[in-house]
Amino acid sequence: MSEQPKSESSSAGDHSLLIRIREALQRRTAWASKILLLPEGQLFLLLAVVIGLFSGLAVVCFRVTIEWIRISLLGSSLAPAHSRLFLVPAAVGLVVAFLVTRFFPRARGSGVNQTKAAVYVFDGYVPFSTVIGKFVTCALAIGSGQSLGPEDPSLQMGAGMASALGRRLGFSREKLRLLAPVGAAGGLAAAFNAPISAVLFVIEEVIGTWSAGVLGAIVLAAVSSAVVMRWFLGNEPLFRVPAYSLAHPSELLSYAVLGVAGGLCSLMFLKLIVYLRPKLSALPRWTHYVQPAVAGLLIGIMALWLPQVLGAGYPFVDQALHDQFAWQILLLLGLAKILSTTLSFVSGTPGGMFAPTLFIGAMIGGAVGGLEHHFFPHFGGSVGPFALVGMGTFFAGFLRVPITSVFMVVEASGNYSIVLPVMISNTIAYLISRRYQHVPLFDVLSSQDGMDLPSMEEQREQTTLRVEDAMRPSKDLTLLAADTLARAAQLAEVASEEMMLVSFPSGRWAGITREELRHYAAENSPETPLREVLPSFRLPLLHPDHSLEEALRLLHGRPFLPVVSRANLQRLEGVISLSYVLETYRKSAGD
Amino acid sequence: MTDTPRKWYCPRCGELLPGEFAECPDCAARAKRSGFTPQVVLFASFVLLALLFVVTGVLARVYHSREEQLALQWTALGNAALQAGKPDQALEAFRSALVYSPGDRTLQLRLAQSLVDSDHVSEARIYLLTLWQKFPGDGQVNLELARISARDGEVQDAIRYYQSAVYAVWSEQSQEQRRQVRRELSRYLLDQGQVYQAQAELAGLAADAPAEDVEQRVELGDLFLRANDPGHALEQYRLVLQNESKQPAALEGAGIAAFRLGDYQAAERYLIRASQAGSLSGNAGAILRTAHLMKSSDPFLVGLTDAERARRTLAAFRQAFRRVQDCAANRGVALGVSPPQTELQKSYGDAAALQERMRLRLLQRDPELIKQAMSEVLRMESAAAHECGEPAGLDEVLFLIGKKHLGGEQ
Repeated sequence: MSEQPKSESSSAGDHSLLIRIREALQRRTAWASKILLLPEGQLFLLLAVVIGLFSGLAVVCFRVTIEWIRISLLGSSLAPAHSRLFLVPAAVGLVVAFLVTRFFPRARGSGVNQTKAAVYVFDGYVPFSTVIGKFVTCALAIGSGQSLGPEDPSLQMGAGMASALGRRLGFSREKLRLLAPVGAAGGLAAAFNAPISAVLFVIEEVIGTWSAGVLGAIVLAAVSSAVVMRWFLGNEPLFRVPAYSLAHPSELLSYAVLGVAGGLCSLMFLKLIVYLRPKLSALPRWTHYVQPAVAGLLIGIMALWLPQVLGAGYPFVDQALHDQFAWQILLLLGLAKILSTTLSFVSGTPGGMFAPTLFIGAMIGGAVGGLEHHFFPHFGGSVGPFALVGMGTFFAGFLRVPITSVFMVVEASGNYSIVLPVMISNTIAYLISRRYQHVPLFDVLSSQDGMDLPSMEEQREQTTLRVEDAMRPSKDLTLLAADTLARAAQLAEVASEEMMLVSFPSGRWAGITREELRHYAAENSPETPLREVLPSFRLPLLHPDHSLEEALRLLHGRPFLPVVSRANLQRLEGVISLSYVLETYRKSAGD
Repeated sequence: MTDTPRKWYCPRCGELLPGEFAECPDCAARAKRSGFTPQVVLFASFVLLALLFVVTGVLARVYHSREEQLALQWTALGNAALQAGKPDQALEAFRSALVYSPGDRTLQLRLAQSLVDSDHVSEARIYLLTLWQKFPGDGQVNLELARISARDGEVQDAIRYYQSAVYAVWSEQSQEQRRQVRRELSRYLLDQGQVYQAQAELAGLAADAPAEDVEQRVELGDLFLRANDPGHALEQYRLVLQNESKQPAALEGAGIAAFRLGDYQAAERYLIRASQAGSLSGNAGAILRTAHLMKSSDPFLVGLTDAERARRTLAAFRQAFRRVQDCAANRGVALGVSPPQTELQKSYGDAAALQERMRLRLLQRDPELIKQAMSEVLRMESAAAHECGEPAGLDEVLFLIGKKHLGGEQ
């Protein structure tokens, strides 16, 4: 008897608990719905953070895996045992070649072009299997000593994860295309531990424009990814950079010399890859199974004397930055790395070019610095800053991303005073490379792969046609809002065009056709001012600096539009019509 | 690549797709879209993110612990190589260790040290300068830079870095480390002949040194002696002797310091005790012999009879007179010329004039004559020293006696 009320009260308690749980769940669901019903723009930004976090985590795992493989296969010493050098890069090369050829063909290459292809060809589509393939094959290749780096693969993995997430969320093609660069920025920022450089690289090389729609997302992804990386792997920068201050402006001359040397060396590296890659690709298919192994064997043999050429080589870049090699050794290391990286890359081994580029740049820069000190000791300073500037110089000459190359050095060094030497040296290297190799590396690689991806360098240099190039003087096409209908009709009868422009004192412009004028004149007194009969809509205005694309968009369905001064909206600079625009385009194409 | 896969048609929507595509993006997206709502996907993403955070955290932690282990292994190898006098091997080991523990300052310093030891001094300097820019207040970095600067003969830089090291931050045993640096700095200053700066550093060191530390006090006394500061040196030795009255090094140092201060009796006492406590160094032995001689030759000693005082004066006068004659003969200088040109000739002339009064009887009766005679002795010894070099043996003793008692008058 006494148990029944207890049981009743307990069932009532359970019931209220259930209600509370249900209410809590409803609250949660409502909160989640609110979040998920965010406008698409805001959801995109939120997603950028999520993508950045995913990219950061993936890159942390990637780097740790590479290190783990290196320690397991080659040992923990900077100079591995000779027996391992003979065996490991070649044997692992066989495994990597098998995996790439049989299971992950899209994991081949550095990853930058593949990401560009995803944006421009495949509607932002990067299969998730590519992410896995890239992770596994690159970790094996780099960890076993192939002369490649983890940055470009990280970029592609970031893009792949972003693409996968976007597809799962059912994003439109347009948004999917934007997501890939967001992921790429996240991946690169974590790999480089340099979010600014990552953002700039993606803008400069992948999307090519400073589009406001995607810039915020790219920055958010890069920052969140870099934060994750630092959270797990520490705040230490990629390199510990020696301090630098410009003692005398004449020092800049020596950096100009570095620019020339860096430009020539980067050109040599570029030509070597551009020449050898199609040759090796054209070899019978069975050779694709052994090419990475042969490259690994040759690199292993080189490493018997120069173990620095193995892998990404960051510890040795650090040593070069701290003046720990004689200039002869630095030069030898730079040339050896050019050879080893060429072998690795052209053999189809998956892996990135960024780290080797920085390595070679540091060595060549250090060698030039050492050589200059040897012959011109009065130039002063240490070799370290030369190695640092050399990294940017080689980056500018080889990858042809001049803005990224400057900011990368400044970001890595945390020293703004290095910017002058970097700008001078990078510009010279960039110009030399451009002069003797017209098509940049990534564009050559894409054309070798049978794709015609847009060249960012060409896009940067395209001259934009503007309204001022197409507009013509307005002649007799202007009426004032205060003009009477009688005067307007009189002017319209002798005008060359069917439509006339009407200027209002407020800066508004309207259009009126001869037919409309006749109609208004019939219905109103001839002394009625135009402003009283004209409808309130206004014509869109163009300014001389507007692009012709903008003019084309606004001209839709209108015979012509007024081009007015930005300083005085009432002042008509000219008019523009569809025929003027087309004629200008025709002329431009003819030029 | 040249073997790009062929284009294919999607079996669902019939769209022609590039060979690169493993699946049709439209159909795949639609399939995914129809399978899960965006809410579910986003929620799953957050869950997956949390899971990945945990997995990555575990992975990173395991990796970091492995890194620490490797850093320790390589550090141990490096230390062993350094101790075995194999700096090249140590260098490689520390470089490997730094790959796994890049921010470890101790390791960086070891690397710098092995760079110095393996004769890569310029590399070591640049390496240390980079560290210095990062940790300008680090004692060890400043000390190593000071040593490299000292080694390269950059005196001002060396002193600057030493002084920075004295006032810098030390991770452990900071007081002891600072004292050691100050001692090193003092020695360096003495080597460079910067005696006054060395005295200042030694004074600071003396104020700071623990009273009971015999070794440090003795060393301080020795350094004060090197810095021409026998007063402070004697103070340090006495502090030691208060605790350990038979400490041989302190006794010997005290003897030398007392001797330099002109307290020859005390010097003799200390040195005799030192010789009883242990063997004397060559220098201390010579000083003891000089002190003995002074005791047996000094006419101004308290407690002598008039006869003994006169005898000693006469002997001193004759010795000095002979020294002048020998010196003149060696130098080919004619004595007794008129008017005398050099101090040697003048002192000889005056002494010759006084010689007639140099009788034991007269000297016993006239203390002023003793003083006058000893004044002449000092003049003759000084002139001979100037002309023929530092005196030795009895001449040195007479010179010292003269300086002690009559130096002010001269």
